[in-house]
Amino acid sequence: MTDSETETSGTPWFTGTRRRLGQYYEIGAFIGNTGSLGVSGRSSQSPQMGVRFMEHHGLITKFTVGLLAAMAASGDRVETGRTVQRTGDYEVTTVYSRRKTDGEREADREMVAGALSGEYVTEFVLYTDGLFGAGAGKADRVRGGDFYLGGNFAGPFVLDLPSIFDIGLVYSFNHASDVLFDDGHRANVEFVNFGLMVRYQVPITTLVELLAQIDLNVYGLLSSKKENTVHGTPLRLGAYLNLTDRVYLRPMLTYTTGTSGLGKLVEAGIRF
Amino acid sequence: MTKTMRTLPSLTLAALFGASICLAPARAHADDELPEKERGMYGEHLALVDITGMTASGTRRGAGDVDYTRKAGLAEFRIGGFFEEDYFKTLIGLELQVALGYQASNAYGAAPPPAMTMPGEPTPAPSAPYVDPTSGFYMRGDVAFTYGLVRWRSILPGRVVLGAGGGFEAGPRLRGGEGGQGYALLFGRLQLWPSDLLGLHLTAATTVGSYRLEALGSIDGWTLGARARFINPARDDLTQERQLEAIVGLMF
Repeated sequence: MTDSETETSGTPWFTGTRRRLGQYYEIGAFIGNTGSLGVSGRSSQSPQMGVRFMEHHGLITKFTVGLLAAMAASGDRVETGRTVQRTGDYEVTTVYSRRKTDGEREADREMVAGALSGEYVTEFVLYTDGLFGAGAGKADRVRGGDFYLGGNFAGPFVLDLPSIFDIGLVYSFNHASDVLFDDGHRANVEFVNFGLMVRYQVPITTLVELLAQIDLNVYGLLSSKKENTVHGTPLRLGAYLNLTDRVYLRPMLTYTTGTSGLGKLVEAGIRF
Repeated sequence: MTKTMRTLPSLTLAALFGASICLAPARAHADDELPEKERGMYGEHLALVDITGMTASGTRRGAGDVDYTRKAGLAEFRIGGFFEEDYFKTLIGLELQVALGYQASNAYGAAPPPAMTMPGEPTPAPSAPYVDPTSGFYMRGDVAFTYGLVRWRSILPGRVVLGAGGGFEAGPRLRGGEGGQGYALLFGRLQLWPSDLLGLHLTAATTVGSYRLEALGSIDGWTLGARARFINPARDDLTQERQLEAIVGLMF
């Protein structure tokens, strides 16, 4: 973090979206109902509770991405082709390769260095059966989770506070068992998303920030429809209500394309 | 253990954790420093070498519950440190601990009472004997990211640290045989420095199904401590064990 990034003005209790220029962590617990499992034939949404963890420009993701990049860059040879010969019951595969050139080795080193110098935002949302001893045992409760990995950059400033664009990959798997339909039958329902997340967070004051988010479901666009499986794209609208810089409430509305109903949840959490 | 008893410690910990966070402004730590003597010890960086004696008592489940005791000794090496601060002045660090120990076989208490039989009825077959965990070496390794959440200097300087990571242990299993298993690890630590020479470090840790409490006191690096480990305390259907360890070591 640079000196200019650590500069703050006013009370140290409220710095608003300036925090999004630095490194920090966010842990929250939420309760509500999902907006992703509203398949045709249901008049109610599945209850949902769980925990959300966000690492903002942190080291865990940096180490993980750096490790993956190093694994991808490992090896001193490049495969140039392969042939397969079948003789009776035998199959012989011949792999042709060459040594990496100096330019390719340098590119590998730059890729690893770039991965380690990146600033990432990772969010992990886990749906749980219960929370602090409450809520366990509801049959059609949402299970599964959401995972986001990406980065961010500052947009236009509002009242001396930066607005923030987040962009990244999203993977979601939500499911609920024995969901009761309006005609009385029960079935399992699931939602799968693998695609691109784009979010815009705009400050109103240091106390209130609005955010709009789309989890574009690329997998859903490319896959065929199945009964009771949702492949829609969630559109989310929410806000951060900062009680201090370290304590927040986060109400969120979610509408998923191709479903009925609106998901509503509220999260309470801390930052450190 | 009742639901209330299981929930109460979680709520208490969450309340303490939340209060310490809420009461700290975002940028409250700009000028603080660690006590001079703790630098390089258990301050910004730490290395602890210690030997530990352990006595365990437990209850094996099976064809009748049987109590047992066991003794073990181990050597541990812990190293870690904080290497940067985040936006909220939280210290970000890493901690690694490895332990190599040797445990004796279980010493069992009274055998399960024989089943009651009526005169003239055949005597039931004796219960299958317990498979004794083999005595032998065992090892444990933990690694965790550490977060120095809150620290203060006034009156009694101190710090609250949260750790999250995982570990691996291998050796004789509680239920018999040998093997290894990985686990997630979460811990909270309160550190107090009454003087430049004196440090007190209290740690509460949890892995899936087990809990650990540790108290270490150091005087100019020389360290004495105790650790209690509770395995499966909330599971009446699994072997339960309580371990008590005495620790002697040196921080540097």
